[in-house]
Amino acid sequence: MAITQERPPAAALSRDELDYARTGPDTLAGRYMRMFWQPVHIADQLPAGRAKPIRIMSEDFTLFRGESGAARVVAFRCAHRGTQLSTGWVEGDNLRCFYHGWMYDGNGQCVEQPAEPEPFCNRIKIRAYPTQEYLGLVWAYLGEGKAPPLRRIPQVEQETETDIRVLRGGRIAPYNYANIMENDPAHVPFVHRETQFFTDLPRVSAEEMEYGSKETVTFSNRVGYVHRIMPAGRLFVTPIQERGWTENFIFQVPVDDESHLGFGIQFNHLKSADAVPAFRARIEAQIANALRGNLAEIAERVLRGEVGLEEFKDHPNLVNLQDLVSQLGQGIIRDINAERLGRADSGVVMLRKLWERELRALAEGRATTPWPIPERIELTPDYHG
Amino acid sequence: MAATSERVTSNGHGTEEWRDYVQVGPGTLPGRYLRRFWHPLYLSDDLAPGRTKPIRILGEDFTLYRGESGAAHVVAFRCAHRGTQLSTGWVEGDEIRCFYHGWKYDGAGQCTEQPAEPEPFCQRIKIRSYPTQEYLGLIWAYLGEGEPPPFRRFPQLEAESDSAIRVTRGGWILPYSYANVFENDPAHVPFVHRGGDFFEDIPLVSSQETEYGTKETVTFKSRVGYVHRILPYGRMFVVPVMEVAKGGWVEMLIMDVPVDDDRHVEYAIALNHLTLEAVEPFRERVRQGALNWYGAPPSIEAAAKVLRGEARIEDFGPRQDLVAVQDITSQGGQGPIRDRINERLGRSDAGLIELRRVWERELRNLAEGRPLKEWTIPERIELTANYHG
Repeated sequence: MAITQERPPAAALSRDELDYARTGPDTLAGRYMRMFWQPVHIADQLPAGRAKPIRIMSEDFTLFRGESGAARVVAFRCAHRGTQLSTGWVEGDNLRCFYHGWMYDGNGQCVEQPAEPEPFCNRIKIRAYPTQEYLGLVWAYLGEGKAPPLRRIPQVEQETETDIRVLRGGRIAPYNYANIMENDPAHVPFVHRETQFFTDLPRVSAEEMEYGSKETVTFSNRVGYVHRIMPAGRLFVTPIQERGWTENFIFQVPVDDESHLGFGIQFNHLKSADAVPAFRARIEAQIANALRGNLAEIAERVLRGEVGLEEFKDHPNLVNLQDLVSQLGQGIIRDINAERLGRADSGVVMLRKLWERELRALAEGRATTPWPIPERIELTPDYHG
Repeated sequence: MAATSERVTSNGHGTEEWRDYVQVGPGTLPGRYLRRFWHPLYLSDDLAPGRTKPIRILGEDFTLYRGESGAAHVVAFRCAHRGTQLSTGWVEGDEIRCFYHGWKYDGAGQCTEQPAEPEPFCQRIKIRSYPTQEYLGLIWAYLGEGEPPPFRRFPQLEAESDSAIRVTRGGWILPYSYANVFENDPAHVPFVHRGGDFFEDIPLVSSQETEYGTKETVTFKSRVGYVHRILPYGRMFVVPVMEVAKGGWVEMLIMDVPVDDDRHVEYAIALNHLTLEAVEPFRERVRQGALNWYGAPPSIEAAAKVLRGEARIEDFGPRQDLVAVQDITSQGGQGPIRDRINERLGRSDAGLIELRRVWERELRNLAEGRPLKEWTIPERIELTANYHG
């Protein structure tokens, strides 16, 4: 009897397979995530002539910036004897292996084999991945086939004297990206109690949008939104203490199933130009502090019961620390089989519904949704204020 | 049509097993092959009389101790009584007493005391012990079955003189397979060690089998040199003297002994041929114990930082162990076990291709019960003083 290659019917897919938390190359969610451009590094933190190892969705890659300034992503290992290419040297726009000097161009084509009496470079090619820079981030397309166009975010492109873009993140957090994707507005009065955020409890509802989903957050006197941009972006507003508001575009990228990277594009709208110097000084101090301290280590100590969060009341990154404690506290991968969702979790339920629908479509070979980003996603300046 | 199933030899080894030599555990084919040799286990000078050490080698644990008379012994890792680790016990005379309930064993593994037993039954208790000897600054043991083979000496490294000083060093555990380092080849030098004390021109290499293993001939425009590979994991080659003064050369025997499949421990016996003015400062460095830096933890940590992308080698600036950091970076960078399936070898890899051919033949002979080649060390293995210089 002939055996034909059959796609499994979606009904046979398990709950875990339809969960988007696991993103290795052979997982359904991993295949789906690889259909999108992913931010992989902060552009400023990769000088010309520098190579770095990066791990994204349980795969290793080599990121380098050629001397002309172009960033490239290629395979992790040399085709020759497999040493890690990030240890090598950038020469012009090529990367030379540390071990025996094989050289590759930005397309992965081998162009030199200096120790070979009869070079066979033309037959050697390692994988290269479409790479581009946008809004201060290096983005790569790590999937198969032709890359889709990179989705732009028009509403944060135009800076002015009082509309200031700041890039945050780039550090690895030691838990799954789904924990943070599912963070919701009702956590604020508890996790961030006694901070500058709201203390009243909102009601939430969620609906599908062209770019993903929109969670509407209704208080007795105002309304706000948390937008989720498929596959792993969020957009919401936070207040600025020097007066003003921030549009936060936050993108999570799985490093593997147990850790993730976060990149935040913050578009800060200050009410007055007078406040700009104080604002810049505070942000610079926060960024320097984030680079110096290890928030995840403090969060792990809190979770082991060695210290209480109240000992860090004056920490300059208290809000991030509080979020880490609550999200890492769910376990390294939040357990969808041992939770009890309620009405306040509408945003999470909607997000998972979209993911499940998309993953079923992918498994069955049907068309998936491209999730375009419109000219402007609606925000209200006073949501968190 | 039935799928082709893997063929299994009469003594239970699958045909795929002889294709590589990285598995070293007791049940594996390369593990069986390796257990036919004597292995260096420890630096003699680092084991004082009366001391014990736990030793892990070839994926197995052992107890090493030196009796008060000075003789080194290797016995089983655990006490026969209730299995605690014998290295935590005490040496008494030439015997070792267990930490838990005081059972005592002699160097042959015979239990000689059971102090808590009203009616001792020592004579019925024996743990394994292993033939042990010391040579060229190292403690060696035979860990296989049956009678040990004759111990292989290295006559040319025995010949110390006023200006030829032998130093034995090593003992550091490195976080990758012995195969990664055994297959390291001369063509890496102009890249991995660029800007260092070694050569910068790229040689042509060829390789042939010898009585002790293989000989890789390294031909430059103006000179020739050799990298000898001594089965199962020794290498012999020349480097310039890097300590104290330039102008001398070193005959190096480096042995990379598997600890597990993905870790190894390195020992080196170096016969340093010095210029006369370098002799005294060199001896002083030896007395200070300052020569055992290759592969030490600071180098491993530095290489790990490079591989994690947290530093570049050039960020470190000048450091005595730069050569080691470079080697650990390239060899550790191949992964804990270098991936043979996804490599693309060329003519410059002739040395490792020959080495793997020899290994495969021997492993296959072992699997099929055919005779094995007896690898012998001649009076002198040919070296040229100027190879790496």
